[in-house]
Amino acid sequence: MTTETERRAAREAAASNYGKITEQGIGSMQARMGTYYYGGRCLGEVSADEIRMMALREGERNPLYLDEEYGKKTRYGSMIAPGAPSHRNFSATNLGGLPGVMSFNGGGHTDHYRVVRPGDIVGTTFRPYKIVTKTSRYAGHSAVQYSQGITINQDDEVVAKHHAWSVRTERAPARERNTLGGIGLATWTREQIEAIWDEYDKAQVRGASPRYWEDVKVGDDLPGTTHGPLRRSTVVFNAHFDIFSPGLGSSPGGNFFYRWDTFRRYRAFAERDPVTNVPDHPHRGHWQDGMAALIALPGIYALGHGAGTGRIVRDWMGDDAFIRLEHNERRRFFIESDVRWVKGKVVRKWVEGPQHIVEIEVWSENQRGEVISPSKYEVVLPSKSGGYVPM
Amino acid sequence: MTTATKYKELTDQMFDEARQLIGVPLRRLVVQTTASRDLVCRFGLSIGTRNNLYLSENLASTNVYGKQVGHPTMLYCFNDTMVAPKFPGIHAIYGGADWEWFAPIRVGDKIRSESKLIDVQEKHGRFCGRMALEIGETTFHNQRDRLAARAISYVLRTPRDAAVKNAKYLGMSKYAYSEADLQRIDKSYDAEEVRGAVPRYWEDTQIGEELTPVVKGPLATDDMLCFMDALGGILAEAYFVDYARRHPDYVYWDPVTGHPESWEVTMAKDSAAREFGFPGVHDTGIGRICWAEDLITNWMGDMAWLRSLKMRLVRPCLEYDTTWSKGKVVKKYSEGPQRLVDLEVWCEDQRGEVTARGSATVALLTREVDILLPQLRFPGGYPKGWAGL
Repeated sequence: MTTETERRAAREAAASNYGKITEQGIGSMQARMGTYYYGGRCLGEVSADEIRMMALREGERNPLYLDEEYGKKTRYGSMIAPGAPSHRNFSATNLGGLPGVMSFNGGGHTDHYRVVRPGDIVGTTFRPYKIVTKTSRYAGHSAVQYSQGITINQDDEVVAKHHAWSVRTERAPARERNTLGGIGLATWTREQIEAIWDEYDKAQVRGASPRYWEDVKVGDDLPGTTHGPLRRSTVVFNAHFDIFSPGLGSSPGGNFFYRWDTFRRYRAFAERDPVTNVPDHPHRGHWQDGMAALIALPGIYALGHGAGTGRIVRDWMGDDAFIRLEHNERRRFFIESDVRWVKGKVVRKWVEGPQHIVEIEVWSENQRGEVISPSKYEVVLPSKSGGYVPM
Repeated sequence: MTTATKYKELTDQMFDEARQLIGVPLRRLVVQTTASRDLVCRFGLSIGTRNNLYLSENLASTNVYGKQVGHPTMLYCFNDTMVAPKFPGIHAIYGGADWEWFAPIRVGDKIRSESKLIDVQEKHGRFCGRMALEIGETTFHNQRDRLAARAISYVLRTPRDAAVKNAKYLGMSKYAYSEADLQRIDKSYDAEEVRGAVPRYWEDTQIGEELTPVVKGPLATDDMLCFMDALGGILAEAYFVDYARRHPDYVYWDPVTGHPESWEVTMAKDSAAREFGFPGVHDTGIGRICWAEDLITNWMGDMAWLRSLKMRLVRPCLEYDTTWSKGKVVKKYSEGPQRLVDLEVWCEDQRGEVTARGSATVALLTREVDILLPQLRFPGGYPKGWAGL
């Protein structure tokens, strides 16, 4: 048990290292490795409403994720969630430590085992297990925190297993690196927007018509999906869209008093807004222009899961298929007014026991030609020989 | 700077077209249908409630409803009561609502709602000169076909150019808090009181009695984010594109980038808010009505019944503003077996400005032995089949 003196000394040491990745800071993080943190919203049942909300915010058109009556007629016998709790809800800020050092969702890997239906009760726990420092041209000197997690339902079945990683980098060096070279936000003509909207209109859902493994060839391209231009309003007001996410900042603790109390107990965590002097959450870089400028970005950026690449696969695969594995890497920011085009290609197909599997390489490319989120999906398709294989 | 109008102006034809919809049930996208335990708690936490009646299922065994209940204003999760059809290209500002409640919202209740325009009036004000006032009626029914509540809504239609030109709120700016300001907020949070299970008797309530204020703030985007989430989020992806195509005047085109946005961006981006006549990012408005309800339900106790709440939003609440909801008892009276108090309620910001004002009627417990608790919320004061004690 530390004394008040020791605690004060630790606070002062922490204050002088604010915003820096130090050996001491990494050391204190090492001490937290292996500890357990709740990663999911543990309030109880998943409802059809929540699944629908998740689907609407992702722009899902498949009634499998929206309509209870349609769901009853499918093999699942009910509506299902478009994906399970995944790495997108694991945020390094849940872990704390390294005050003032930024934290970005670096990506994640999820193995899916079961669908999630209305009425299911799912709980997720995750724990950090490793932290390593590294240097890269893009991210400079950084620390990468790795977490592992597991989601279990009311029948004690594993719904999903996760690995996720967050990248911690210092602000000042990021600003100096100025990797985007001082460009402004993307600009668009009305004609360009109409063309983007036309792309939205063209999206199709395979749905009830099975896509058989035998009919898929290595090298096949998936019909692409278009996302954007990114709106600040959706970054902010749909941020909670992952129904399994603990949310940001205030949730699951709550607004006003709950956040105020958290900030007064963990003073190093909150930073003062420069205009109003109010303590606020460091993740406000997602909506405050001034914060984005601190790291030489032209504008605010989406949360990690804002660069989602799953819908292209779900739209293509058909209701009789399921995603058994997804691996996403967040390499670049998705910034306000950016557009990203998601593309996919079948790169491998094989059989494992009863499962007929295809591997799909998916990536998001923005209007600057950057690949934002290279991803990989393994999909179990129905086959003409083996029939339908349930998840 | 050009003086040519960039945005639409109000026309007589717009008034005529809107009036044709009076009495017609309006179509809307239904996102949420059920007061699940998750939504009940999520809404409560999004308004920072500290009243466990609305957060904990443990109290269900001792409360009068038999189950965890939700805040009366959580009905906003099912219908935002923003009844504002027609007037394409004219901004809409929620001016306030008159709520009446008839049944509790229990965990598991399924809520359906219907909205209608009931009147369109012409108004003139300092904010933007000529405005339209659309008055709507929204009814909420539960799965037992009980009318749970009715809300009369008041939405102002305000042409953007006039609002920017008149610059009514030009003097307002984001507030720079001193440490003393922040300590005042700290003290208010710690002084908050929840009556909870301790009965509040009508006989003991005095006219002039003040409710313990409830502070909410400084308002951060996180607060608005969680609240908008509880209300169902906003149109995105293909759903936004579809809506934008059907209502082209609904789109706010960012003047710097040319990218399309929705009006909700005025609650997230200072430059957009200024284009609509606000000094900067501002709140939902609806949130303040919920905070005022939190003030009253904190005070009245678990077994009292909030019959009605009328609130008008009179000034904007900007990002980082702090709001104290306050109230006092102004009238004490009876209606049949119901023992009622009327409250004057208002919201005050850290500048000392009143940003919302209104009134409420609460049915309190009484010591009279021939009046039973359940009579608080039934029309006429008696449940069905009541035959006396």
